[in-house]
Amino acid sequence: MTIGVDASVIVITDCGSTTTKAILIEEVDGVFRQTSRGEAPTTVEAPVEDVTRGVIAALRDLSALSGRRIIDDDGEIIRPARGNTGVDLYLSTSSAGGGLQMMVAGVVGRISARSAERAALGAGAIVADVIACDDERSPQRRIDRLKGLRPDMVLLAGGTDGGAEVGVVEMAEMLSAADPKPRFGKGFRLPVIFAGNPEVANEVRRIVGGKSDLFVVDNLRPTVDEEKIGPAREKIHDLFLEHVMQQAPGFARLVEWTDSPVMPTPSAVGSMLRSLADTEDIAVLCVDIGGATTDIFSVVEGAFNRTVSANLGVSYSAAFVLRESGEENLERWLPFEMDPGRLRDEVMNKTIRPTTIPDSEEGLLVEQALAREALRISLEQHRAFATGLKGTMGKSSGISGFSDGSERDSLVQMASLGLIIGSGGVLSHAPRPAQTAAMLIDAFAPEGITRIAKDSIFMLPHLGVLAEVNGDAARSVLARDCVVDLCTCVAPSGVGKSGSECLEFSLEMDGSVVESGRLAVGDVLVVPLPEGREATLTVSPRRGFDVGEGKGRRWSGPVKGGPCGLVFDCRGRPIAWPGSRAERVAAMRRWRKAFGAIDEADKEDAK
Amino acid sequence: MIRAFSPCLTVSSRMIVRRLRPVPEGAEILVSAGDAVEATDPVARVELPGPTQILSVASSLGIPRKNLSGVMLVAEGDQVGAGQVIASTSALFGLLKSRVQAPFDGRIQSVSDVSGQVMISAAPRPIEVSAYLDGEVTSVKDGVGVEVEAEAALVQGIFGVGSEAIAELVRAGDDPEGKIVITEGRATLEAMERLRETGAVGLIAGSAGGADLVSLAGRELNLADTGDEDIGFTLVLTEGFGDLSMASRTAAVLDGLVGGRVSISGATQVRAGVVRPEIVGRAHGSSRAEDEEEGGIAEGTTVRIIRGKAFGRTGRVTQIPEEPAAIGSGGRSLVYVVRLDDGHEITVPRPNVEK
Repeated sequence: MTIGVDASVIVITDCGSTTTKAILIEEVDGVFRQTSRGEAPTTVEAPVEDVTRGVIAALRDLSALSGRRIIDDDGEIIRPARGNTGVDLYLSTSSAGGGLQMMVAGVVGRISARSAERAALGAGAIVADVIACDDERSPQRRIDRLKGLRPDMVLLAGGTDGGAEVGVVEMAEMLSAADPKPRFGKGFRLPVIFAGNPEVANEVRRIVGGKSDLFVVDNLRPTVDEEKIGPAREKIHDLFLEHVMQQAPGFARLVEWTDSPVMPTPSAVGSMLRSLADTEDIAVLCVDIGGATTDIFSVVEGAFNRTVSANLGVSYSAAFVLRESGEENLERWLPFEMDPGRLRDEVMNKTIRPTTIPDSEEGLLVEQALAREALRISLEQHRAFATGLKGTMGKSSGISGFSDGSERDSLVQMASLGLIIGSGGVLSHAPRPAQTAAMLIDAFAPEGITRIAKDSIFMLPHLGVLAEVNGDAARSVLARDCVVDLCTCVAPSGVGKSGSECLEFSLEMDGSVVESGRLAVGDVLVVPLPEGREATLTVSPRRGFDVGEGKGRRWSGPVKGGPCGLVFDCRGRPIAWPGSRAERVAAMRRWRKAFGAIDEADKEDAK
Repeated sequence: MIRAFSPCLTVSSRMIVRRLRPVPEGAEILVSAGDAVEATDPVARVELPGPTQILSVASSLGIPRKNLSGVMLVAEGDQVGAGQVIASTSALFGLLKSRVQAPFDGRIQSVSDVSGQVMISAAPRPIEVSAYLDGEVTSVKDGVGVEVEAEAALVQGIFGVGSEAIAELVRAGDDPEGKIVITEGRATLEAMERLRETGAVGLIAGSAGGADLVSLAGRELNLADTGDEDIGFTLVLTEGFGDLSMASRTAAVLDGLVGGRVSISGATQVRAGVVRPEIVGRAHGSSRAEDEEEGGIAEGTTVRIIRGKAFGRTGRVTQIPEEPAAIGSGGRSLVYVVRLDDGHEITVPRPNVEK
């Protein structure tokens, strides 16, 4: 596209489920920078029910903070930019009104249904359910579930080209029996995309065509060894714009305002992360933890994966996190003992009053413990999902050439990650950067040498949609204003006896050693290394430990600093926890102090 | 004057309450605009589609799927009765017969020679929608619902479990059978079990223990979306989980409803389109000026603290600083300065108060 390449004043909004965030990007001395931001509540629900009202309010907020007049007296965006008035380009992403909600179905859960899920998630959808012939539910339970869903669209897959027919037709019959209604638009027929065995397309049309708008695209699993999700993903995007967005309150007007198609927020994030991984030639993992859901995106060896853990978040979903993690897993992250009943009440109160915020350190630590567990479980789910089509034969799949979807077969191996980016209120608004770094390191347990960063205002969606029209501008802002380094984490993988020697290191800057030492199993040490500085690190792990070159092998290379410096995490992988509750509390106090996640007064207490 | 907005729950002894009673498409509306209704009166009746079952007929008969149509004794669209033979085969000159019967009264929805399956839908189930309020029908919207309006007392709770119930409100200690019971403090597990055993239809309490609720329900509940559970009665908590007493203002409004009939709903939806549980009863007393006050919180507004050590305490806002201030967690937030009823002045994050 040529649109936007000459623009030097760009405004981008992301219409989130609760907040519409606007950023201003300007070309200053030939370099694109994010210069200001504004926000306002999203307005897709009663009584306003018009997303553009929230957009205008966010743009007015942006005007007030930047001094640039963006909206005229008629509520229209002023174009083009002249001096301190107007903009050259307006773009937007959206996940408002719950974003794009889909239901996917396939014949075999791990094959066609998994590919369908991947296509939907990659297109930015929230997948409300995945239905397959081999899932554990009875046909009646599947129908009941389908009846209760109100998706924006359905993706139906199954059968290789010329392959299975019966299962595909069974799924179509189930869909017809349930006759789910679309979320928006009374009298509007539910869009169904069929991306399965083309030989049964007519039969599928006969069964569901009378009740739904059926669209047939290329089979997303033409053979068991091939996944072709592009056509299905593009059709999802098209239908999102043509059907869903047009039905959602005010979106038709928003689509008219923008200079390029409105992208689903997660799809824009994926686009930007792919670009980042490609530019830096590293594997990247990005998490956005919210009150209700946690999204994880990864780009490893060019493969993009995204998962949405729909019930893992730190407010609306807090009670669900407790349910999934169990009281003991949650409580272990607290540096004090807390009665399990009181912990449960605290978590349940947060769920029913989700907008309240902790006003004591104890309350903050409970929420940060919830965040650790939400992140940990979300990563487990992501790693189990992000598997290749080829690999070791799964124990139960019984089909050659398929992994079993376990973390062992995951594309996302923690030691391969070069960068982890955290985003979302509990990470972005933690009182101290060290708390953000500690939450990410504790929950994700990175291995080897990994940069830890945050996208403090979750600008990746804005930059993703910008990359569609001006990649250079997007990359410029990404590098300068979006991804903020917190620390580099050095974490040897392996296990050892607590207190035994784990590694030896030396850190050189400007040709001289500035820090060196030996660390034992169980130690956490932070070595200051300022933001923007690079140093050369040499690490010699002891036998049984690996920092990237193999067990017991020396690693040497450049490392970047940040407000939390260089973090040596020798707690082992998986993290070795003491057995008793009192010992766990003591360990957590020690680690918090080492991370620098508490202030000086607390440090005394932590002793 | 600076004004800030914080969400709050409605507590009023007299106000206009309107409730849209949603009706499914095709419902028969039994009332007209202007009709006076009682809470228990039906306003609409509808026959909801029965469940659909998929029968693997070809497999049951041991025939190729493509031959299914040839052995069917009924066709798509036919009504069938429970136990009626819908497909059969015979072999060995009729000596060996196999057949498939309809599992319930219903209609044959589809017969597929590709999947070898038959879909059958059960007979529709009649459902009635009640008026819920003692009041007047103000509008009828086809396919949408019936709006009922009443001058009533309304108390919104913070969390509830279970569907609607309409019954007399009694105090704890009175005969609870068929009644809705109110207690201002924490409802213990023992008390809730006793109410279930004695046939109470509802319980309104200040609080309950989270673990107790899990024990009572026999499972973890989805706190973010309730209303369909069956724990034996409808539960409305006005404050939350733990050992929290009902706010004095809430208790006073509910006190005026004791002895009369109330409508309660446990439905709670914490996510988008927030729904809170509620108690609606006859209007009493006069409306308070604060009930009518709109436009958020300003200096002088009475507020109640809803998180932390000061939970439940009330006071008046004395300052609304424009800039974020340091709070006890170590972070920063927009705050109110509140003079508590005992004279102490504290700084509270704005999200942690309600009017």
